[in-house]
Amino acid sequence: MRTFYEAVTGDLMREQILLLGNGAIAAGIATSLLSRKIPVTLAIHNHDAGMLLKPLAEHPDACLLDIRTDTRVRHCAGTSSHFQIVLDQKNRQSVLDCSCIVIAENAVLTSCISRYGLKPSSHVHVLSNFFQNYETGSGHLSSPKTVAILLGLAVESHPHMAQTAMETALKLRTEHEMGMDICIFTRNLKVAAFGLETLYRKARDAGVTFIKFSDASPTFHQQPDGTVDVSFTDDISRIPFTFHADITIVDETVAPEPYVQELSRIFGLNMDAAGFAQTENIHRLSVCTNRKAILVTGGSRGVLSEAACHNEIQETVLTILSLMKGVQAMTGHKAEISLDTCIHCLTCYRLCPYHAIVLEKHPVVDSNACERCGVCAAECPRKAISIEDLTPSAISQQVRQIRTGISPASVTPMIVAFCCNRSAVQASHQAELSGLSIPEGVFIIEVPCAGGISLEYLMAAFTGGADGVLVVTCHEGNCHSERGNIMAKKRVGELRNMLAHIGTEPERILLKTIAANMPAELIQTAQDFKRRITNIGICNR
Amino acid sequence: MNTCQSTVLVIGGGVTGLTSAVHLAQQGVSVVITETADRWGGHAAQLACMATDGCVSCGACVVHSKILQALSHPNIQMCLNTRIEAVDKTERFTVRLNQGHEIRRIEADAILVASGFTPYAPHAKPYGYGRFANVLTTLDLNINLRRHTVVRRPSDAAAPRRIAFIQCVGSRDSSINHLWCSKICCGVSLRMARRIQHRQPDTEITFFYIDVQTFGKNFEMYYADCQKQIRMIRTIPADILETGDDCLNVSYFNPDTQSYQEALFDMVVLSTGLEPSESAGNLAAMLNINSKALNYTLNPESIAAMLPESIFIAGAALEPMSIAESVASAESTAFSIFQYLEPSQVMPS
Ligand SMILES: Cc1cc2nc3c(=O)[nH]c(=O)nc-3n(C[C@H](O)[C@H](O)[C@H](O)COP(=O)(O)OP(=O)(O)OC[C@H]3O[C@@H](n4cnc5c(N)ncnc54)[C@H](O)[C@@H]3O)c2cc1C
Ligand code: SF4
Ligand code: SF4
Ligand code: SF4
Ligand code: SF4
Repeated sequence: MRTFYEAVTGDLMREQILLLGNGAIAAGIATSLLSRKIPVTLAIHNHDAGMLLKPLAEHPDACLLDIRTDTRVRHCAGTSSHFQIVLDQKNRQSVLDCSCIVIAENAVLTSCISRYGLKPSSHVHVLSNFFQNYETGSGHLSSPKTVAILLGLAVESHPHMAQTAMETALKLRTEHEMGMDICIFTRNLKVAAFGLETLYRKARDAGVTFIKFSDASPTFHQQPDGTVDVSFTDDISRIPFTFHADITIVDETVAPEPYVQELSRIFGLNMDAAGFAQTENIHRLSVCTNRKAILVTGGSRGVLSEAACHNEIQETVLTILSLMKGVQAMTGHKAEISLDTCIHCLTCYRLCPYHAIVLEKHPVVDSNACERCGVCAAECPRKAISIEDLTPSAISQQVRQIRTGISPASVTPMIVAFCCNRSAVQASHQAELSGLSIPEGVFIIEVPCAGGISLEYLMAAFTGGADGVLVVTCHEGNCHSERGNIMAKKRVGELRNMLAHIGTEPERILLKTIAANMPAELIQTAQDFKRRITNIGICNR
Repeated sequence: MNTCQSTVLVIGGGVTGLTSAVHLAQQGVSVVITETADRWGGHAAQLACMATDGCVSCGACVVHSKILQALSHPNIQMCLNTRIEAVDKTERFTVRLNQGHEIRRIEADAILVASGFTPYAPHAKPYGYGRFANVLTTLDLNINLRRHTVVRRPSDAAAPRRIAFIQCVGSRDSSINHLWCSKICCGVSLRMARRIQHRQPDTEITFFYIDVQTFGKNFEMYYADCQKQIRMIRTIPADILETGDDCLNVSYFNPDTQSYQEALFDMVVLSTGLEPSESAGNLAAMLNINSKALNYTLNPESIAAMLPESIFIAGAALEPMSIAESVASAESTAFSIFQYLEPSQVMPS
């Protein structure tokens, strides 16, 4: 199979970057890629693309750009070596070969008008397009005297919403009819962005009133003419108060475009709770997903400020260049499936966190996309999958080697600590650097991911002579393979039951989660466990 | 210019400098990275993990993989204990490095300033920092938690039962002309508070604040949980006095009762904000750039506009930012540098 780099450099015209989006970020990425003579297919799921397309079409390398409007992704096969994407353009389907996919859809704003129990009227407006609507639309009122801005009262807000609210208030206060009474009703004023504390003070000094709620909430009553009464208890005087608003401006929530959630399902991307196509897993920083060469950027990956969105273009193109150079490739032996033993149950295909297993006539591992997590090998019911240096017999070999190094007369228990490379192993390196040492008798076996620590590994440790087995993984939510640590936990639980069943102390096995930056905690854990095993006693040898 | 022959000097080995260096090196650029301290990773490398039942995505552990990546990349020259003494620009930059016993000169085609921030030193605030043993900053407590994993009072090593967090210390404060929100400290304190309660469940925590800033993807839920487990008081305390038994008497205006009130705590944690790096003024002078570029008063776009084209700034040197934001800033700036070194590829605008 060709590498991504070969795919892109070897056959420029056929291999493509598939870019999904219809906003400034998508346009920026397309422009930057074209300037590097990298061909792009820009698939836009609706047809409203005018502003974006014109400048792109005039790009000197526009011949490398294929723009398809009203086009949705229906299906994705293959992996980072070679994706085959079924695109649907108004019910006409076609297959696109590409090497990298970038999801760059904008987030969508939804007004909180109904959350506050209000109805749209010429007196009730939405924050983000207030001035457009108010000044041009029929809604212009001759002489409004009072304005209420409702900010983050229904759901916690974000700095860019607060910025728009304060700028709107300030503009109304200073540029429009003087003497307007403007009140911003909020809970936590979100000033965590450049210049917002100053903006807040400026608005306050210009006479904008800020009313902040902690536990209590204001109530809203909309009059038949559409104006709104905002009622609340004044914090200082404790007197109930009603602010009659000629104009009410209502904030919005930020959510992913529904198409992004559809794409996540098609591509098998792990989503966050809100449905953005990236979890908060720190291994995904900045624009990566659980799938190699499927990137997610801007409003498709979370709630980002405008300034951050601008940087996203550069982060994304840089990541594409790195993929092309192959620098993100995982080195080492990759998983291999023995077709003689495989019974096509497709467990591996379903469980591979990186979708590195493709279905041809048989399940096949794409060595390019495989991250060596070992999940498939540990879970295959037929044991048909192996990673050369990580087979149970290779592990068993390591354990035996440790054993031979220990004098048979030794009274120190032998403890095998399976440590995940991305957390515990790093913590152990730092421990060494800071002069902390792993207790005597504790031996670390490094694994690329806890997801590969199979029952066979654990049993190999015990049969090889370990008196105790420690499994140290990343914290839940911090696993590069998303669920490798959870799988390890499940298997450790199973082995505990098995040990109890055969009359061995289940306390001889322990799983702990530790972050890469906690060397002292790793040492402490190892010491505590060693003490525990010393108390239980050395196994019969 | 061929990027393979060009060199970038990265000033500062925090998460920003390391991330940029790795990306540039991966694109074939030679990188020299200088760090005045005797260890890599900047502030992030001093932080403890805040996980409770699971990771809370504080980001602190990313810096270690960045250090390893940088150390193992053949295109990166890493210089600890190194001070920049002079910068001359003719066609390229000539930079004089002081490495203790040795003075070295290197040449570079571009410079990235990743000198980060300095935590606000709260000695002048009426909270007794530096005088009362049990008044700590969030950085002090992070350093302790990395070493000991549970919280103990510095005065007597007892587990504190009542802890107060005071927010916005050195931020949003006109009296010291710090008219910015440091952005990270609400998240830092709340994660730390929940982390302490996770391991020491009997700890009562009080949180004095102005506004709680949104952090993390699941803020709404996280915040709801905090409101249940932590006493949140919307005011900033007036002062702190030490009692005979090393406890701390905090007086504050209680917005609920509209009166001044006092409360006793075993430990007080000051959530100190971010200030421009101590070395900012000196660096600006040596690089011959406007000092405003490094003093948190301009927005990043205006800063980029006034820098010479071969000088770049990223990370917390630009404005207060989190680790995740620093990584993003480092990546996008690395791309800008790469584009600058490779003019043939640059898009005519
Ligand atoms: C108490 C505390 C807790 C925090 N917790 C979190 C958290 O949980 N999550 C989060 O996302 N963020 C957190 N942060 C913020 C985080 O520390 C920053 O986002 C991050 O450190 C910024 O990285 P940086 O590389 O830009 O700057 P720094 O970490 O400040 O690194 C800058 C480096 O440059 C070096 N340097 C400075 N000047 C020079 C010079 N002239 N020459 C050579 N080297 C120089 C410094 O020694 C330093 O090593 C916390 C900050 C504090 C203070
Ligand atoms: S899990 Fe094993 S048996 Fe099942 S399809 Fe995969 S390789 Fe074949
Ligand atoms: S080792 Fe992990 S990444 Fe590789 S194929 Fe198996 S499950 Fe997928
Ligand atoms: S991101 Fe933070 S909470 Fe999560 S594992 Fe790393 S250090 Fe711990
Ligand atoms: S993040 Fe919170 S504590 Fe820090 S300055 Fe902003 S409002 Fe204050």
